[in-house]
Amino acid sequence: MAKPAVLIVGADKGGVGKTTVSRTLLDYFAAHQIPTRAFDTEAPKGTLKRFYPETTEIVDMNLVPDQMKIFDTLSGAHASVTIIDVRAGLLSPTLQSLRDIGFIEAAKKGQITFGVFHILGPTITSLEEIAETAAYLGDAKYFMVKNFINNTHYFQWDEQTSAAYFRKIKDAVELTIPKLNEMACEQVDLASVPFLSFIANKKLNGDPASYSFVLRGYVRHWLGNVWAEYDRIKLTDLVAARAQTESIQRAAAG
Amino acid sequence: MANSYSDRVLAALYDNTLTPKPTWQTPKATPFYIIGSPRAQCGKTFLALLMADYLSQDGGRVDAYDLNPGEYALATCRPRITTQADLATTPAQIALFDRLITNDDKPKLIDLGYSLFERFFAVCEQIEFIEAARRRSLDVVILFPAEPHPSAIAAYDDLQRRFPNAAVVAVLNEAILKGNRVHENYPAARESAAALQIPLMPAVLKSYADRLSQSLAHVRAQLPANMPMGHALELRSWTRRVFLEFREFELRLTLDKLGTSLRA
Repeated sequence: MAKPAVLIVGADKGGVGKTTVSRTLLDYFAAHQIPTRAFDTEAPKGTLKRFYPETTEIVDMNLVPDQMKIFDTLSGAHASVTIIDVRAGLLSPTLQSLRDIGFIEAAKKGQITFGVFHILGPTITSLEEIAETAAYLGDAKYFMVKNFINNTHYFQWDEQTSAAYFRKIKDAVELTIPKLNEMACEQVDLASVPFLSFIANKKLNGDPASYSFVLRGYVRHWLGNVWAEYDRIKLTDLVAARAQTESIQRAAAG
Repeated sequence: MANSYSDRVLAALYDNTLTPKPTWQTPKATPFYIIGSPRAQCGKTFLALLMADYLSQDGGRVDAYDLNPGEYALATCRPRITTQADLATTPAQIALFDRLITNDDKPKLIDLGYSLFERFFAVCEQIEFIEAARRRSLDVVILFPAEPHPSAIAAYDDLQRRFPNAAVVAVLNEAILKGNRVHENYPAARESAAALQIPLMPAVLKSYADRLSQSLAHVRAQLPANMPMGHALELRSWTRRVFLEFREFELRLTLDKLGTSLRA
């Protein structure tokens, strides 16, 4: 039995595509048939839940009962991966809370696999948040994500400055989320379905939809590039579902 | 082309191939011609017009798309069967490709302007259009007007490499080649995709043909009244020769497909 994995997706400011990244992760694990659950911290309405209503719960990370709902159920949950979509601006405070409840220590002891996807904005503030985040990471796998989906330009970063910040975290890995056609992005959002459902031309309830072939193609191409990044960092290995995934892939290949 | 497990999952979802359709639901193969070159003044629109007339002979239906913003020559000559199209915006791409991908048993033809050549095939690659079309029983044929210019030769090679599931066929138009021998520069990927030959149309016939408001297919059935008999007969003979070339090409493609399915 694989040890439970917790992946935190956070950012220092809103609008950098944090929830989009969470969605790509949920789709990735679904495609690899890795049972996953998600917690949407944008209480009360949530932003992730409308795309994944069956697997997502809205929580308030400031409330102890909600913290218990997440962390006290890690071992017993059917899902081997827990994704926490952290409200913008609360990444460091969340990591601090996790440290305070002993979660970081448990990860250090190897009881839990812990990863942080830090969605970076284009400003120097984002780079400074890396330094702030580093203090709480412990042995967590740290992924710095440059998200170009919104046509962000990371022009404030010169190579030397960004390299200096990246070196503050041992074994940090850089990921790139490419730009998605704006209309495609908008239509998936309007449809309120996972990217995979949009590509498969299905509504949330599984009924056939009538999404544009072109937009489905753009989303498929984009998601393929995003998943290539996850393949590159061996994300399925990280969540220690490798044995299960390989047997599924062998079966799928016939 | 799908390689990794992730790619295969996405490919299967995109094409809804997870549940195979029974044979009786599979639509019959429908021809789909893309006529284009990255170079201007290569006889592309004339070739598109010839193919449109060939496909619409004897009551045949065809949907033609004119992708020459600012010119739309094909749409002007054959307005009843031609739609003007563009690729400048996402809605324009949707309006075009979402229609193209539908197999309604009507042959389709695109007159692809040189200014949109790269953009069109870049979109095709991104949305894997040609592969998806093939899965929907649309037989994609790219007709490429051959020229001696190195950029044309390179573009032809590039199309063969990027779209192995399409038949990329060089068209040797004597009026464009003007005696230049280019056959060796345009090798066919397979026997059925051997180059097509368009004979030279004498200038006097061309001037009549350009003024014809009707399809050249009609010339075969009835000689135009406003043309000297000799020229009309010559035009008919020329048209028959070209249509025969097209017909033989279609037969080669059909035999090739039959051979492939028997070997499978």
